[in-house]
Amino acid sequence: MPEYDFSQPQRQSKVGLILIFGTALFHLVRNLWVVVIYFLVREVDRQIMLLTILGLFVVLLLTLAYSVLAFLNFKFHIDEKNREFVLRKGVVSTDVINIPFEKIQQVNFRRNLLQRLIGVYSVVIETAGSQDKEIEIKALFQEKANELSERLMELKEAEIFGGREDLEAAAEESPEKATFKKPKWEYHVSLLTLIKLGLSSNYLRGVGLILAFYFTLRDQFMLDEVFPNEIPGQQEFVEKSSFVFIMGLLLFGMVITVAETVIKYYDLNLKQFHESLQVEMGLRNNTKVNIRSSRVQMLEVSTNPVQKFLDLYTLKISLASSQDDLEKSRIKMPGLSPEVVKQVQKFIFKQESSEKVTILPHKIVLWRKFSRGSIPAVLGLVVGFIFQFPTLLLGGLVSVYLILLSLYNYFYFQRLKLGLDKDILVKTSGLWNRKEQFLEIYRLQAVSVRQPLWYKRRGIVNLTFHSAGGDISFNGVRKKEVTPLVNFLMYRVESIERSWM
Amino acid sequence: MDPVRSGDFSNLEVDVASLPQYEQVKLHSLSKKYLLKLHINTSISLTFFMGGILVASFFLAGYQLIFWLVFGFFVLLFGWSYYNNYQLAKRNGYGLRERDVIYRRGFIFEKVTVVPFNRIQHVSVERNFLDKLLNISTLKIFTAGGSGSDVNIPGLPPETATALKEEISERISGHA
Repeated sequence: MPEYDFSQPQRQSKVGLILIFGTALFHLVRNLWVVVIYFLVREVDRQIMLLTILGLFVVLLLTLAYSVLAFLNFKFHIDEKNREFVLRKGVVSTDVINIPFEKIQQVNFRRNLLQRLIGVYSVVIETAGSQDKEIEIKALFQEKANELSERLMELKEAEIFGGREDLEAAAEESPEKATFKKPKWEYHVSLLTLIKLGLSSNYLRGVGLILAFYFTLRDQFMLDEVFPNEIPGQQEFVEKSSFVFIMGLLLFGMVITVAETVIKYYDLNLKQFHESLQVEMGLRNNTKVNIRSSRVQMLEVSTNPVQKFLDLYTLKISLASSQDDLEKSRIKMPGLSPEVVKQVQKFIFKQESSEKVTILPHKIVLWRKFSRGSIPAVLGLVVGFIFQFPTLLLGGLVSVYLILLSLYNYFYFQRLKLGLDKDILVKTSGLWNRKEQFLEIYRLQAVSVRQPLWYKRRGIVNLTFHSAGGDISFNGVRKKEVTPLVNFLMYRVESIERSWM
Repeated sequence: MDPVRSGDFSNLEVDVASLPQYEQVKLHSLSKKYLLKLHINTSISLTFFMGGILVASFFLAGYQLIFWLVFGFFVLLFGWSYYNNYQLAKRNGYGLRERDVIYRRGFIFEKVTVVPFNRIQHVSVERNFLDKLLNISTLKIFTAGGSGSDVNIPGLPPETATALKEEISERISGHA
């Protein structure tokens, strides 16, 4: 492997020029396609045609010149003396971005389709600063990209631990370097698994996507004129066709859901190295993220009965983010086998959780859920009486609904559980979509105890555990039971001098 | 960075009973001026609504019943608001322990948040126009947990707010 020297200002790989030009062209075409169509459809005289082509040619040349300049002026290097990463860019004015090593949060890779074709990676440096949340070097070959990312992470680590004389870290350094290239384990999610996953997910999402697509189309092109609403014909025909329509919609939703799953998680690949978990996925936008266990704030394992049968589990990892946009810093990895889930848990928590204390919700939670769910039944009854539906039908429907509601809520309630051991808090919930959320106690930022007025007499409270990766709420528990828990948690958080990030 | 001495916690139940109890901390109530501030805010919106209703009453001359219904609804609403303000000012309170800060707020939905000093990112003291008139301050405590765990303590005398801020800052740096 060639050694790269990052201390001198340098450009991206030369193919980066193609990338910049290609991207610029893409934007150009996207903005100008209306004009092109106009010329295609309308008849224009030769002179205007000629002028237009000339104009296009000039625009193309300008774009090329712009791209070349942008490529030439884009230079980066690592300044070890000033302990920072320096990036210069800009066509007309020059932007200089300096990122001190300690501000580097994470170095990731990203690829879109064009970058895949050319065979280059974007190196994305996430920073903790406020000016730019991330900077992107768009065209580096894999080896160089790897080298740069490793170098930066090393420097960042050195910067953070530099103050203390950390012999332990130094001792760990050498074996780590040796094993860095070789992952401890690797897991690949196959196309078949993704298809199975898509088939066993919620199709309603796909249906929703189609509906959203349909409505935007209708707004834009007035589809109503093309498909008039009033189809002449018999009532029977309409009923039959609407049934076919709904089935078709569901089927189409299924296809869309599968396609979305495949595109989003194509080639999902997990590799665990000594210090980090590398996750790569995506067809259209391929990303490769290195997750360090120290940055993981919360972990969620979810599955549904069908997926459980197929051994498909979904992992969601919440990373620390000081901003409020928590969704963005959440990484979702579906289609994992239970063994892999165990491995990842082991990597993140360094130990297995063994619940010692279990807290169950008060029955009031069940009752509240049931009474809220029965509101539609009551409304249905009232409406039914007003419009004088047959009593038998009405009664039957309402009772079936109520029975299903009770069953659902009963089993949902049965599954709700808050477990705690010495180090980890685990919340179990969900009947169809079963999930377990894991939160290490020392990652807690604060605890809130909430109590509506009407819970006071019964001595019931709702709990919220705040972490930098999101909150976990557990509602309707006996205050007498959880006050010691809160005290214990606070004691732990306050007595552990371990950095939460 | 040394790992937790695991031996200390072999038995969760017994240890927990002897831990400091967050419930038993005596909380300090907020300044009396905080109630005044709440009342002023409510009164401002009351004026607007009543003005609106008066204007509307000219147009609704024929619909006496609707007018009185709406009027009655707003009287109840604002009556409730004033009562709620009173309860808030009475109940909201904060407490400082050696290692954390506790803040309780809310009347119908009471919420007690405990934030350890070693999880606080920074503290600031803020005053808006009304605060300046009334000579009170708001202490804002920020954590990495986002808006859910951030704590804003309004209605503090400025000296108290500054003193608290300094005290907390000192304890944060003591832990960092």
